[in-house]
Amino acid sequence: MSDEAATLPEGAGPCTEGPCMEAQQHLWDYLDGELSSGDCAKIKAHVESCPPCEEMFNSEKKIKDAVHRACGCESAPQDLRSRVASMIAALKLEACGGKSTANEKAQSKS
Amino acid sequence: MLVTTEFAPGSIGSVSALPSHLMDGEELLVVDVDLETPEERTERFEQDVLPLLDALYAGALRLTRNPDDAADLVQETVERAYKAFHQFKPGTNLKAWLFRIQTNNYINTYRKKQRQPLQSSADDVEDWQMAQAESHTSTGLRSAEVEALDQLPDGDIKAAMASIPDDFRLAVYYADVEGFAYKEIAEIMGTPVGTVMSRLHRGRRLLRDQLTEYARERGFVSKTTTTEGAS
Repeated sequence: MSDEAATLPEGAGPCTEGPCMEAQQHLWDYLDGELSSGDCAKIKAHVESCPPCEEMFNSEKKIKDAVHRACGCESAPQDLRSRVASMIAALKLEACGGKSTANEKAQSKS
Repeated sequence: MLVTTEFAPGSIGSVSALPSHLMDGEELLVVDVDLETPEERTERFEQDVLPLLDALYAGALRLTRNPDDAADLVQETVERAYKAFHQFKPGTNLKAWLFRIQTNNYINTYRKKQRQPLQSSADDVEDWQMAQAESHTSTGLRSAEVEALDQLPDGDIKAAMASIPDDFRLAVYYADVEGFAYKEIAEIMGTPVGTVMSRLHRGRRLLRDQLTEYARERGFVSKTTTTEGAS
């Protein structure tokens, strides 16, 4: 047991037995959507009825949400987009150049 | 140098547990890769891959922590993806496939150049069980600290992410930003699922510690916060 547990007011922290223990063991499976719907519902029911567990789950979820919010919204710079577009155009020429005999025939007719 | 031989046809493309949100309303066209002309394949590549450039760039930034290197990494990734595109199974998880290429590309090319790569220590299934045990014997954040996280600017979150080892950071990024399942992250990173879980547990714990430190530095929480944290 960590030292900090001794400073918590009684009842302020999740207990380390039974449903609380099970919920804590599956905290990240739950938050990451890895649980079956049955297990998910079971954990959810406990967390919603157990304030210390709820606080723990909420605090970890906040970190997950913060990462999602802060690290997800990068736009590729326009320069990169242009470089990629040019590169694909060049690769396209290389890939299609010697093989489009249909195009050559069409062009020779016009 | 090309990684075309690395992907067995349909390997990452046959992930069965595809989160529905990653399918995003795109039509599941049944494309016969063998009958496609090079022109058609290129068109399909442009249509399907270019919209994912922002996501690739965001992921590359987390890998390289440097915008110029990130842009170079994305460009190389797109090139390799184009050359291997005939191996991608249409209708399966393209984004995961691309991230796999990008991650491998980073490991093979960029990480070797770093003088002090932030690699994680050896991680295996036993480690993840230990990590899980560790994360639950430590207490969570106090209420005041949790509230303080909402006040941290995005720059602090990014800095905290940049401070943790590569492998942990990537796992957290793939889970929390891209929403990949553990199985998908395992395929992207080329590791067992147990290793992914270990990296997630440890990475998140390091992240939490670092974010708490930033919150304290900014004065959002008292450095001596103990039981008064509960609001």
